[in-house]
Amino acid sequence: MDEQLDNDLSNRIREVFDNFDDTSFPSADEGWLLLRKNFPETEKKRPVAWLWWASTAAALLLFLSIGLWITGKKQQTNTLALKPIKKHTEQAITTDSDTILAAAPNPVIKNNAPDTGAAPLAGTKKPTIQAATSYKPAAVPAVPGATTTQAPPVYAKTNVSPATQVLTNTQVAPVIKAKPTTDSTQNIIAKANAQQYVAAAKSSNTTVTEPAKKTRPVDSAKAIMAKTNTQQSVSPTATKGSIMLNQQPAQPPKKGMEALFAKEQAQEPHKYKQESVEDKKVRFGVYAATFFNYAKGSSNQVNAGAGVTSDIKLSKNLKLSTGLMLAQNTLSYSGGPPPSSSLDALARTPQALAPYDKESLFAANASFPVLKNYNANLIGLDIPINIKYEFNPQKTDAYVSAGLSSGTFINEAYTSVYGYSSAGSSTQTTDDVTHKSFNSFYFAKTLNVSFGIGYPVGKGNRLIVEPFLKYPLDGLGSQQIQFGSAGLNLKLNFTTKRK
Amino acid sequence: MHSPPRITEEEIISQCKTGSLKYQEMLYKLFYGYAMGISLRYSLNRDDALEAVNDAFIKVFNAIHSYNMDKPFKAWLRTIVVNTAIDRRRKDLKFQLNVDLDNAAPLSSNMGTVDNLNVQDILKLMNELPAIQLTIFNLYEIDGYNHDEIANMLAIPVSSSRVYLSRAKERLRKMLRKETQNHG
Repeated sequence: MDEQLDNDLSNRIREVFDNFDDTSFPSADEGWLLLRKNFPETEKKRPVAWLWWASTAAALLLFLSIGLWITGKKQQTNTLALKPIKKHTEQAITTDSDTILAAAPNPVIKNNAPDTGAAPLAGTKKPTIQAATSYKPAAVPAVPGATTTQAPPVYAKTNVSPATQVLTNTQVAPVIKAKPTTDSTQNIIAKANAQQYVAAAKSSNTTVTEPAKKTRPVDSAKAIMAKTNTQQSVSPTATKGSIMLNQQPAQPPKKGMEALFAKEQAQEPHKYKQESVEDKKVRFGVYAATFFNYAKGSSNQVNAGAGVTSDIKLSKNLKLSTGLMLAQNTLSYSGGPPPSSSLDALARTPQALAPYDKESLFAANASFPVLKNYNANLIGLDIPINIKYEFNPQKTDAYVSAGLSSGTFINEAYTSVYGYSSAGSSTQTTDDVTHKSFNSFYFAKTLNVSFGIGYPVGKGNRLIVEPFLKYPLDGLGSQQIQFGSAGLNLKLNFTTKRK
Repeated sequence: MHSPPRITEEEIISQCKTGSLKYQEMLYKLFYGYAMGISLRYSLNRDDALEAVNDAFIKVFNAIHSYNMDKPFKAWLRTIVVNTAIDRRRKDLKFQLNVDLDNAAPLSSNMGTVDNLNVQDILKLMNELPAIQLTIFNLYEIDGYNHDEIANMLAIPVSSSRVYLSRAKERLRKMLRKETQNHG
């Protein structure tokens, strides 16, 4: 009996529920509205996520490129600093001779003015040897007769007799080999003896081009050069020495350290000039843009974007400006699709939805749909190539710029909002969203025009305010909508500071 | 009088596969009642049932590209609704509630025999069942799952499925007899 009841009950329940359509409460419309709270939301979040990831990637790339650029520039600076010294070998050598002079503890040299010319010669041959001789007391007993005080007179004699000079060098050489690290010590002591150095320099007519501190980076190079010279035969060395001696008197008498610094200053701007010229060849910057999109039939929509830029110097006033910009573009058309678009789907829509007109499969939806609104949301990756004309590059950052943009769209979302009223009920709307990503690449379809004014921010950086206009030359995106933008770029241009 | 062609179920589903929100709405409204009918049997109340239905439809829309058009859509939807409703009540299924039959809600006054039971009466009866018994009764008696499938779905032994079904039937019998006596 129980089994019979169970079967009856089960059959009845199955019978009732098999074709049960519960639309009493809540209604399908209410249910759909509730579903829409969750279902479309998840899709709308996608562009934001895209924007975040793309922005993060762009920022990382920017920092990486700036870091690499700065590193590269530092190496270049070191090379530049060496260049002028290498070019003026004679000056470098005389620097060494200065050091020797500075090392002399007593004014022996002062009293031997005609001999000062010999010092550079000796320095040319063995600069490090002299240094070692002067500042290493340990070396004194090792080389009899090559004591510190005796050194200048010996060199003076050397000039008179090349054979003696060679002999002197030969005697001193072992000391240097024994103490190869005396270069730096020499310079330090030379600094400490600055007063003696000045006194000696003033009293003598020695050509002194650079202070001892400037010669430090070149010490090793000089040592190599000096060694090379030592290995040469006596006669060429002597000849060279004689040439230098001949040149020495030809130069006008210097006024000691003043002349030294004056000459250095004369060289310094040249060096910095080279570096600053090097700096300005490529400049990087980041910028944020606030703009509004405009298109025929669309209401203006305010949007934002960000990007990186690089300016490549072409001539004094002209620069090639390029970069990468990520920007959101939104367009909103009321009452119809964009006039220039190829919205086949929209054109077909009324026919496709014709069944809703009268009798329909879904009685609740029986109405004719009307396109109420059309929205386009495009996240674009823009690659501008502009020519920038700077009015006065040395003084201001005022410029005008014009060029073309190419690019693609990371995400395209087109939303068609249809409205249709149910019989006897309120008007309902339906959204039709189409998404596309990297659908196509457009080439030179936007004309860019802008002008900018820069203001200094911190050391070497400039904040540039740049109003701009992007004018569409052709339709963009999968729907080929002609739209442009106009707004304001805030740019921060970086320049590295030389040390 | 010329009647415009109707949009078929297949056309709607095809359009849903393209991601068209408009057709998704059509599909939802077309099968809403059916889905609610299923969901109500597994849910505590209408609000829960609606949430389960909406969750199920979101799953449908997200997975519709994998739907095989050769098979009936209703069966596919039914499976999704049932699974979604069970998932939502999985917490409840762990607790074996012993409902006192004396506190059970009264059924409709005209319920004389089983044949006179309407949807509301059946739902009231079923809502008096503990969640696990209700679920197994629904799955086995109405939706046609066997005990192996039920055991797999609910992660319980097959024997437990049989026992719970047996208890559910017994409880329903008692409630029906009690109601019959009250109205007799």
